[in-house]
Amino acid sequence: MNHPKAAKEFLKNEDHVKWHDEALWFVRQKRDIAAKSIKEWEELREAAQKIKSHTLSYLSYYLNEFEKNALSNGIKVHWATDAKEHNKIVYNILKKHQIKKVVKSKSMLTEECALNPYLKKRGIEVIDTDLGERIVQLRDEPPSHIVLPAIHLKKEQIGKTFEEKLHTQKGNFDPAYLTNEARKDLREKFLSAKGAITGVNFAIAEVGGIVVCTNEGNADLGTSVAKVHIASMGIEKIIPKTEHLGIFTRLLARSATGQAITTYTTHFNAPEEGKEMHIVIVDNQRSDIINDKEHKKVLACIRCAACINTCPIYRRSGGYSYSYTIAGPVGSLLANTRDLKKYGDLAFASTLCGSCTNICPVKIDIHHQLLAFRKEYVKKGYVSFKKRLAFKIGASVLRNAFLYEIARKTLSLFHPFLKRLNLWGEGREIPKPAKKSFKEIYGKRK
Amino acid sequence: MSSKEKILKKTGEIKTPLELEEFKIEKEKIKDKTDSFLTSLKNAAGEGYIIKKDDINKKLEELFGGNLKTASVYDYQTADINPNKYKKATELEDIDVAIVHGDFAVAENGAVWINEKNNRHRALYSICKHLVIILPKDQIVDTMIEAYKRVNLKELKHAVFISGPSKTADIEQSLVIGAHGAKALTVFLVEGL
Repeated sequence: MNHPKAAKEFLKNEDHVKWHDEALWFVRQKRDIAAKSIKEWEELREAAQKIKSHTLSYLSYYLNEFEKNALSNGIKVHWATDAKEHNKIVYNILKKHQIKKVVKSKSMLTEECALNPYLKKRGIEVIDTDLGERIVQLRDEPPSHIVLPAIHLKKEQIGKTFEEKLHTQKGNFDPAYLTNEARKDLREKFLSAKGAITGVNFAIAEVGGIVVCTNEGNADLGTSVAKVHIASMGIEKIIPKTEHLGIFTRLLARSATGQAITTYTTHFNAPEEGKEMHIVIVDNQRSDIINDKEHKKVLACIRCAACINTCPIYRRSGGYSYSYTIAGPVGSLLANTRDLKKYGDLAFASTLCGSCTNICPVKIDIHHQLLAFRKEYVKKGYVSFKKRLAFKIGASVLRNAFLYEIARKTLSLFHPFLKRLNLWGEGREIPKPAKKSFKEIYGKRK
Repeated sequence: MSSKEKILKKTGEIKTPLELEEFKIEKEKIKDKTDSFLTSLKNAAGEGYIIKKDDINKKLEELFGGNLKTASVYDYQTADINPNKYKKATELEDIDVAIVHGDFAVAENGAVWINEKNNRHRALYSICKHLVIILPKDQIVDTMIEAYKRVNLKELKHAVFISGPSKTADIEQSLVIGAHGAKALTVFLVEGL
């Protein structure tokens, strides 16, 4: 389903849309307060952007360096060119250790690779442990937001799900109560799971270790109880040095939720005694754009979701209106770099207001790139026949003084039908044509 | 060709990078680091106390005396067990209070750097109900920039910045303290440690 159609579904419930819009705006405002409290915020953004750009220019070197150091720390490193290979690697590790149950903390990469269904099919139970992800998992839904996976749900909906799946008290929708029930349920799973899967926020080349940031402590608890830890990372997660973390950790949580830092910023540099740690380095089409000057910048994204929270389209159309794993402005960009034909409609899911670009902590020029993708989309002929025809007619009329004059004079006759013809005019008022043109009025003045 | 070779072939040749500039980011000096840290910690839902070295045991007794099961790898009078003596992390599940040592704290965000080489179980920090971190009062840095300049990450196997108790706002953006990790966190800034 394309974006406008899916958004229409979401927009049916006006009260819910208003609530959704405000919930995200609340997060955006918290971000603003946090960012404004740092005088040197712009310098930090500048530095973060430079570090990412530098790293992407020497990515092979840093990946190689990272692997070398990780290996000498006793971590097992795997490389996967695509999603299928990634899933296979993870499965084989679990199979080797006869692990039937894994706890997983948030990882958009495993979502991108569809790891959960892959493992489930092979008899392995995957339990998402981030509360938001757990909620959507119990409802058999995908996350609708990369940082706030259940932002589309009201507490009553979550309460109903918990009543059914976790047998909580009927009608008790108190967030503290529901959170505590989830804690109790998941505690059991943490203690019994032999495997733990996490994502990676940063991978430090000179150290050969990774950083995982959470608020809930689920990555910490999961990895420290299980005997095998598997961390999945995209090739773009690399940063060269420890000191660069000083810049990124100051930006990440403030941009994401308005917190000064996440509760846990955990460094995994080696396996715990008697245990195993694996890192799977995944490409899955990322390297396709590494030489593309325009679009390689999107690989700098640190997945803070600030652009999502601020986006007027996302706030009013919901995460499920985007057909790609990651919703919102940067998700649309990522989708477009993968398959413009398939995801091209997402380049148009933007007002081009530029708020995403202004807020991005690593200074990705998101809305400029969305515009560039629109051009490419048209050039490659992916636009629908109806739209193409409308623009063609429009262009030839506007280009020709004679045709323009006829069109203007007869516009009032067409006006009632325009609404039906005009794709843009749906839900909008079409202005009535003026009785006299500027040219005519001006002519009379003389 | 291996997958590694395939990926590196696409990401460009392996060449030694040009020196990346050192970022000298101007910032406002924090006047009172202790005060700033305690405020940040409070914002992160943690609580802090400034106490004298000789009063640690007294304070622990005052806060956690009674029926609570306490644990520490250090020699504190109140600690009921030494977690290092247990083989499995799951055996630590019933710990009420874990008392650990931090190296230094960060004024801007209330985080404390914990890297205990003599602690056997990493799970200790997140499996307990209440985490107590003890650190010298004069070990507070301004921001994460200074923090990461101070640590020698290459030498460490595991380390963590913890800022307050575990929390979540995944249900309707309502902040709930106590997700999967500790439900409460207390920092002792100790004078003369």
